[in-house]
Amino acid sequence: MVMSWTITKWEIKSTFRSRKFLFIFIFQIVTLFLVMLIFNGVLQMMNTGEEVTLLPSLGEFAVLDVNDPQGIIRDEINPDVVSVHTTDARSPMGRSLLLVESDGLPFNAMLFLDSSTPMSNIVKDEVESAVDRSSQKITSQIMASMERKEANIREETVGESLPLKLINKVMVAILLVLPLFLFGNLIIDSIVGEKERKTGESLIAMPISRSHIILGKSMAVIVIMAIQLIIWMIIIMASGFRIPNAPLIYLILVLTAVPVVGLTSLVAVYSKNYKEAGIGITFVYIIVIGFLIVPALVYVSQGRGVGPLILIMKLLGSENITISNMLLTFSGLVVSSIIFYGLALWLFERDDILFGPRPGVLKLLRGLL
Amino acid sequence: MKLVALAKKEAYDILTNRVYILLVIVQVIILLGSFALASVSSIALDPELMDKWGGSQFLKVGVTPDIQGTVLEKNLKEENLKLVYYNDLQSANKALGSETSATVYLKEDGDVGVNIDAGSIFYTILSEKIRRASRSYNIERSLADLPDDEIKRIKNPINLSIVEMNTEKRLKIAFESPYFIGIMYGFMVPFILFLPFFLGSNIVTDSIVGEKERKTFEVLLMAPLSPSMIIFGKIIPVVLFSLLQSFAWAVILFLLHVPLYNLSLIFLLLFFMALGFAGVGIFISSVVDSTKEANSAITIVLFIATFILFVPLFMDLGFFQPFMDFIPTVILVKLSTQQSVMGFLVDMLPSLSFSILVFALSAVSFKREGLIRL
Repeated sequence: MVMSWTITKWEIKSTFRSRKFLFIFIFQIVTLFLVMLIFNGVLQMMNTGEEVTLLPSLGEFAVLDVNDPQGIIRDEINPDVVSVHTTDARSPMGRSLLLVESDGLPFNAMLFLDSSTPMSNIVKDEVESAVDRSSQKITSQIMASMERKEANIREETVGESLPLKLINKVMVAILLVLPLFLFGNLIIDSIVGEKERKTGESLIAMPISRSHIILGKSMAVIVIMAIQLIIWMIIIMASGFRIPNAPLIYLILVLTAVPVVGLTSLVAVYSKNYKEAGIGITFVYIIVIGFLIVPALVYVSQGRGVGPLILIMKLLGSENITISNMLLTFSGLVVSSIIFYGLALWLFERDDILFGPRPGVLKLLRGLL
Repeated sequence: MKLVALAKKEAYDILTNRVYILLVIVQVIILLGSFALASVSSIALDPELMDKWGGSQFLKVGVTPDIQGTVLEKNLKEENLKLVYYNDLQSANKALGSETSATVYLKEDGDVGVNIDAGSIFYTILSEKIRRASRSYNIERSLADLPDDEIKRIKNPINLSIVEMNTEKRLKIAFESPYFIGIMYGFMVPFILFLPFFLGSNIVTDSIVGEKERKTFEVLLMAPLSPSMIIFGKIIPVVLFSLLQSFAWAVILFLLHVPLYNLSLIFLLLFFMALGFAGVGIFISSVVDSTKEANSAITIVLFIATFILFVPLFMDLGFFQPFMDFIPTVILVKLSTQQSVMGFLVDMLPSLSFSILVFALSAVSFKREGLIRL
């Protein structure tokens, strides 16, 4: 263990001395600030009742000429959706035209729709919505003038809105889990780098067991991730997001980092070079992220499920957590850690993996079985 | 001939590299995935599409006995909502969120009461349909003493008629939905068409820096090839590979009924963008010594490029808004959706000039750095 700790200290020192690491570290923090800025913007829009849309702004692309002197429909068209050009033309001049005749009820509006562009769908939909909005206003005015009471529709929403739920729970939870995947390259650098720089041979010739080398290097990355997690949690909280049960969430995140680093070590030990490791890690992370996020989305829609991300989401929502939930999640993390580190150590002990010729995955599996 | 030989060798390297082929497959998955996602979300957000594709069966609304036989019940059914009848409001509310997504009932004063699950994926569409049905019911109730014609006139004070022009030039689109068109043409099309060029700049750095790492770059510089020939030999296959991919994605989009107008102009723009991205790759390759350094540098450059190219599609840039017309992705959206290209050619000029400038400066930098390192 002392040997592993020596490797860990050495790795942490060299990582923090690396200018590239510090640059990436700061770059990630800047990116996180930007993401938090966007989240805050979306939340503010929600709080002010503005419609939240993740659609691109097509106001510049969907164009409409409007001949509506009294602005009955024109004033209701959303300029962020359709770019309105006021005209007095009564026939279309090469693009869609809305002509409104306001000489007594019902008003007649005619939309000459240029079907040659896909944007015609956006123009048509927005004009229909504007007609709907304007009609509602006119109807209300008529009823008021007739002194007729227009009954109310009393809508009460139950539960948290889906976008709010996604931002407050899912996105914050994903942001908290993200550092675990951003620093995967550290363990790749640490293990594959030794192979590429041809320093691996000297390292294993040292009076230290191979298992201690892998465990020491992995521990260093877990420590760096733990530091990164504290910084990210501080930034998220400073941006105005509440993280209830922060110490418990932090503990779950650090424990989740253990199998993630173990799996990354496994890929790094097997890879010959950075390129192979890069591809391997991309695929492995896609699968791991899928394993974390899919149950989380099921939890959002169905309200049930088990997993580290779900546990974090429950803690973020200050929901009750049962002991079985905790036990299942933690035992999952422990079992996966044992499997990943066990395999990584087993591979690193093999000379054919370190010095070649490297056996294929199927042959290794057969050997293992 | 020498240039062709180098270009052929580079093309062979690209086509036999499993990583690049894998990335091409990843792009196809992104394309098909984004199309599927846009299709599903269009159906979930568009009431008409929801009705057309039979999704209304998921819009379950719990109602109380007092609704039965009323105009409100008729209106709700006309909105294609699936009504689930409960004995009282309490049981209806109990089922809200699990069996149903909303409860509609009549209050003591006759107002329509609606309890709706805000966490439902169909919240927007459901709320819109219930509001429409309830509002129509309220108006009819308030004006019950008036003749039907008069009620109709008050309910619909604007008659909108739509005359479709240029129907012969109309192209079939997968989903006639504003959401689908917005997300596909306003973001996915430029994103998908630009992806190969992001990959292209990576291939350029891989190729040049790879030679440096394998110590074959010096040999290449000593070969009877001018620096310009080396640059062109390296980038011609990359530019062609990127353009071919973009063309293939345009064909797939066409087959998925997402047709693009002005393909020739789009590819002219993309060709110059390819030059610009290749130029960035050359510049980075000339100043770094290892693949690791090159990857870090290219990640940062592409991050900034993504920001410049795609953020203007989503945000009002305030002071910078007048410059938006010159952003390549914005030009691409306009070109791909409109038949008339008036004015776009002028808008393209700054992008084209900038790409040529980036490429020229990178070539100069490469020549100087390449010679120094000898």
